[in-house]
Amino acid sequence: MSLIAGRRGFVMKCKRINKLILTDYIDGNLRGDDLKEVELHLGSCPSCRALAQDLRGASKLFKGAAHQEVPSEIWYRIRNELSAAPVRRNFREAVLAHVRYHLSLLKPAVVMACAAALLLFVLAAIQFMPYRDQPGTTIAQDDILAISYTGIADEEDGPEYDFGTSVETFFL
Amino acid sequence: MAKSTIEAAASGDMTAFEEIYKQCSQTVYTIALGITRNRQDAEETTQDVFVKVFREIKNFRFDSSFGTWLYRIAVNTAINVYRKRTRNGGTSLQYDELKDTRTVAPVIQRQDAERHDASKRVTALLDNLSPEHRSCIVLREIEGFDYNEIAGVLGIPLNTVRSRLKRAREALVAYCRKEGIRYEM
Repeated sequence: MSLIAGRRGFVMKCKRINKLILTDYIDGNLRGDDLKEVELHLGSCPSCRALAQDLRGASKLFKGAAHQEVPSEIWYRIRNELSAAPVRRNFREAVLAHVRYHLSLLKPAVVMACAAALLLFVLAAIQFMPYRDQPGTTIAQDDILAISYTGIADEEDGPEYDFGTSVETFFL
Repeated sequence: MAKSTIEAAASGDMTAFEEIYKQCSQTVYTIALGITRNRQDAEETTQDVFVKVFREIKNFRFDSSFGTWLYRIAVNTAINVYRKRTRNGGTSLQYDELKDTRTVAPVIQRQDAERHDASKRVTALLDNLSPEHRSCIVLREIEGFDYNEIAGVLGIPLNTVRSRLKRAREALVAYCRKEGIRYEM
């Protein structure tokens, strides 16, 4: 009686282990005690061992058939189909997404180099830019400097400034 | 897949969409070939999938991974194409037809022949499964997806992934034993 009960217990265990072999064991998901239990059982059960071996073999067959090359003409067919019936898009969003995408393609190093070059260009431009009168001012800066260095400019040395009348101020 | 690429494709940028195609087409094609087991159907499926993706990508909300979303479209489209063909009494063609290898180097010829042999066996194995079990096996064995990814792509609970894989593998092993298919270990 105990022999039959023992045999039944072994078969029950076999069924449970079989389920694990067919899924988590063969896919390498088992860890710790579960893994030890399955490996211990495989050591003593030829039927489960044969199942595990067959599964590994079948898995190897699938791996041999992986990586199917996609025929190149499929992309051209897709493009033709899409260009024949273009999808309506929001123009503003389309432009923004287009710009964002193409900016994302830029490498960080290239972006940094461009930013540095732009900064240098701006600094150089500021350094060497000749002075221009600001709009709205009535006296040129050079002339003010000339006045401040020489006090009141002599008639022989420089231009004469006379802002005494409103007419002159208006035309300056 | 970069978010900016998906957004650009969603706004109609063909360069960005081509980038998506380059990154995902091989997986889509392999899934389609695994489920339909027919090159012509796999090509048709791949084309349909990317046309659908281009039209629907503007509705993608980044709630799940883009790959999960795209491969779910691929699995559903492939199952539909397969069912349509079997309803119309179509026959299953070879998974991998023999190529003309006369002008190819001997090493490549041997590799091609080995691959062809493996492909023929895979065709025979997959023929014994329903499209649902087949898609599970293709995602796991050929594409190497883990259980969570398979659950996401097929839209089924994790335990259903386990039970489908179990039944599919039982069927595969039974077929191999019946046909005397041997594997090099």
